Amino acid sequence: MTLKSLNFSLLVVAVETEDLSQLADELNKRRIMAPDFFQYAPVVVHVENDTANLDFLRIREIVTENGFILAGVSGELSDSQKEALHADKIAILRRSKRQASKEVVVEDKPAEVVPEEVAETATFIANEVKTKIVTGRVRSGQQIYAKECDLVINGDVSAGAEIIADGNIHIYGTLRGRAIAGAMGDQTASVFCRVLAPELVSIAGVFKLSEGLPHEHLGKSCIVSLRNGQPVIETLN
Amino acid sequence: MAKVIVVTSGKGGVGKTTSSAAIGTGLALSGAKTVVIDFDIGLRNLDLIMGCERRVVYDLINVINGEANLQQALVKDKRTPGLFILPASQTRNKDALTKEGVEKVITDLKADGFEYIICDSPAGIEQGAMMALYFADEAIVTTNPEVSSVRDSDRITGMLSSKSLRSEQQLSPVKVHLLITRYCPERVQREEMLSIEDIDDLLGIDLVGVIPESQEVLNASNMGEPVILNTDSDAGKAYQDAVDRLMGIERELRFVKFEKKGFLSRLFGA
Ligand SMILES: Nc1ncnc2c1ncn2[C@@H]1O[C@H](COP(=O)(O)OP(=O)(O)OP(=O)(O)O)[C@@H](O)[C@H]1O
Ligand SMILES: [Mg+2]
Repeated sequence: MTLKSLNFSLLVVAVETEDLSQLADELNKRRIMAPDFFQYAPVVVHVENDTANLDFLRIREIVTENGFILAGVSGELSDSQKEALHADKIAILRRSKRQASKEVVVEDKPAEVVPEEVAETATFIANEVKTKIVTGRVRSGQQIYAKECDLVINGDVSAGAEIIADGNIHIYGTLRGRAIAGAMGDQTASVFCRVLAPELVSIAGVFKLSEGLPHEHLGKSCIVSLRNGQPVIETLN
Repeated sequence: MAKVIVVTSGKGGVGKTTSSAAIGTGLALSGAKTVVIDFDIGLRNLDLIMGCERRVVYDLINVINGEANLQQALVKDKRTPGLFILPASQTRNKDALTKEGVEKVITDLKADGFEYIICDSPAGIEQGAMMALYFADEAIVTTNPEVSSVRDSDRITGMLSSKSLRSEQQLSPVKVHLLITRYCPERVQREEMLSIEDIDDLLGIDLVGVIPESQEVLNASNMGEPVILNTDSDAGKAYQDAVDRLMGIERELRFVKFEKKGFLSRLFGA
């Protein structure tokens, strides 16, 4: 067993005041939007107020109650906040100075967390809008997440693979796995694909399983989007 | 340049060991010094299929732990010159299979002049399977024509591109070959099995061979004689074709079409 440095993308939620109801709201909203991706997902609570007397145990409870796991706390913390965190055995995450890596394929879901490195890809400010392009097949067990941008897959997505984007997803191949667009709740996001045969398609947390897909669209070029909160599939021509 | 080739699949019982034995034998017959390493710690059976079980003294774990040297542990094949087996341990704990240990064994085998190092992987995606594939230059992904086997092959192929030394060091990727085993053209025709085309569609991996379902394979394992040595059998010929393709020789696919037996041959049971 060797200790390795790995990069992870983590959801970051800000806390500005001692009133934690906002934190609960925010987490609940995200969970509803993309339940699959966020269930048991690690979350970083970013403290934006170093004078607040925060109840970190309560913060951890709120995170857990909403189906997430608290990976740690980040921010410019005061000494007393740090002491409280140590006492509560909650990790303090520091952002690395290094650039977020371009690594896109995450093998399995993150199982271990190496705190020093964790914050590396935790972005607090929206990145420049850019498309993430993946060339080649996405295989069973692989997961790709395009954070705050669109995702283009130039290849097939196997059954058992999961591709997730905060924006739109374009697949120049066959979608057999799961595609989750608008993962942070963008209802205008769509999934475009050349051959539709998915296990699941989700837009802003509203999903359709392969069972619920109308037969006439299977194997066709399609766009999946939301209309009045309902998934709509149209043939692409 | 020595080549490390892992024979892997994800799913169990698809024919990895049968294929490792056949392909290892075929490569050695071409004149290349070849070793087949059994990575299936605790479920050793490569030695049985290769018919050398009564000559096993030391094993891979002994070598890794420094309890025996490589020369002591390598079992020389009696039939095929230039072919050796490095057996798995039947009794040891799998955790003994460390990256450093396996690396040392492979380095020593290369220094010893081995041209092909075939790693017979255990099923699954645990430590043993990961160690078998970690140092691979090429992989033979073994698949049966059924959905669950194909899914697992897809998974292991993903791991070859993310969990191997070549991927970690960003060298040119592991060259992956698809070997379809237990193919039964008649059942494909009846749509009870996936066809070669279906599998290609799902996996997109270059095909190195298609081995038909054959009683000869069972007979060969029972006799402890790799089926490739049975040059009259379809399975033996199909393995020889696969070995040739591995070495870059073009071979037409055989035994993949269903031919209905004619009236007369049915009558005479040919
Ligand atoms: N082409 C074939 N035709 C008929 N039977 C076959 C064929 N290939 C393999 N088998 C049989 O399938 C069984 C499993 O084969 P084998 O032990 O080689 O698989 P494996 O992938 O190594 O299994 P494990 O995952 O347990 O290591 C054996 O009984 C073998 O004889
Ligand atoms: Mg085996």
